[in-house]
Amino acid sequence: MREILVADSIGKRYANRWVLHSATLRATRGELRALLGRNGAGKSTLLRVAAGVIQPDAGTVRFNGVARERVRMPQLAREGLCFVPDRELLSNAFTVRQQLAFAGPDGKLIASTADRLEISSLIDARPFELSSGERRRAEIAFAMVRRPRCLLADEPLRNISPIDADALLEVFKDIAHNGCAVVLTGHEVPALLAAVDHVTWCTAGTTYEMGPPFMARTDERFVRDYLGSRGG
Amino acid sequence: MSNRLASDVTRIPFHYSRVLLLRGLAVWLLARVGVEALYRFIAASAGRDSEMAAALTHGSPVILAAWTVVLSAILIRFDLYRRHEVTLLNNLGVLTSHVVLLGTVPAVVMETAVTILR
Repeated sequence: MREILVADSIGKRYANRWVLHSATLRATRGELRALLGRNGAGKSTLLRVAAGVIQPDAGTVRFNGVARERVRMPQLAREGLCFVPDRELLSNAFTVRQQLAFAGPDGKLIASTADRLEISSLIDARPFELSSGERRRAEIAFAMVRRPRCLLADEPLRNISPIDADALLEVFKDIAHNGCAVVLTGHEVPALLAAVDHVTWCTAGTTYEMGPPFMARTDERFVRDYLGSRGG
Repeated sequence: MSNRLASDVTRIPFHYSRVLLLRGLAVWLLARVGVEALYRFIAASAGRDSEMAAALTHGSPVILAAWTVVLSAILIRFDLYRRHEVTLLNNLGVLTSHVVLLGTVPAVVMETAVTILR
């Protein structure tokens, strides 16, 4: 079974407004997937439902082959899910090193991960002492040390310079190619389309499987309604 | 990178527990002062100190202690969200309710001690 996570036919409403209706998100082992869509399309909500942060009003979340109508993030985390939210993941009360040690006690792995993400010199700082880009890299380091089977990251490239974003995408590729299922959201379209294996398009509260990036680029509606002038 | 999960991911990290217990102590102090002040304020406003106080606590300091513990638990939970630590702990497989329970331990211990010493 390559699909480790399927958030199937998800509906979610806030007050009387349905922000998701029949949206589906799949995460497949060994695959780096981008969940793309315009602002307010429901990407973050879908990711949060899939991670068990919030409960869906319709649909089910299947993780490791077990379908659940109510999912809780700690339960999924115990089974191998890691979720990096769009807002702060790390606490300001502890140093980056301490929080990486929370994720996994392997000192060598912490050191090599910090090295890979170029935060070795910052590892004894507290997150509030870091720039937003450095902080984001520290959060990805936390996820890597956790050694997840499925990683959901909401806008991990936000506030990251293009060259650092490319380096970070290489890290995500490595994580995926080591067997982890990785789903990213973001608006860094050229970089994401160059890196990912599969594109899911979230629009108007529902999702479409676009397939590999080259197929997404040739989809007339995706180009017209999402890529705009960048699709040409 | 191995696909094996990091070990001991389901328990609250030891270092975090220590910090949480210290926070719990500070929160208990705050809750205690708050409940005590509210209790005295209501009693004074009623003008009949002993009767109103007795009515509020049903004649038992245990009720006051229980309110202090409940307020401590609420404040601990609020503090977890304020510090953005909920997702961090949930990512470790730790339930928020377990963290709140641990953070409330100092309040329970201190209230028990205060009740006994009275």
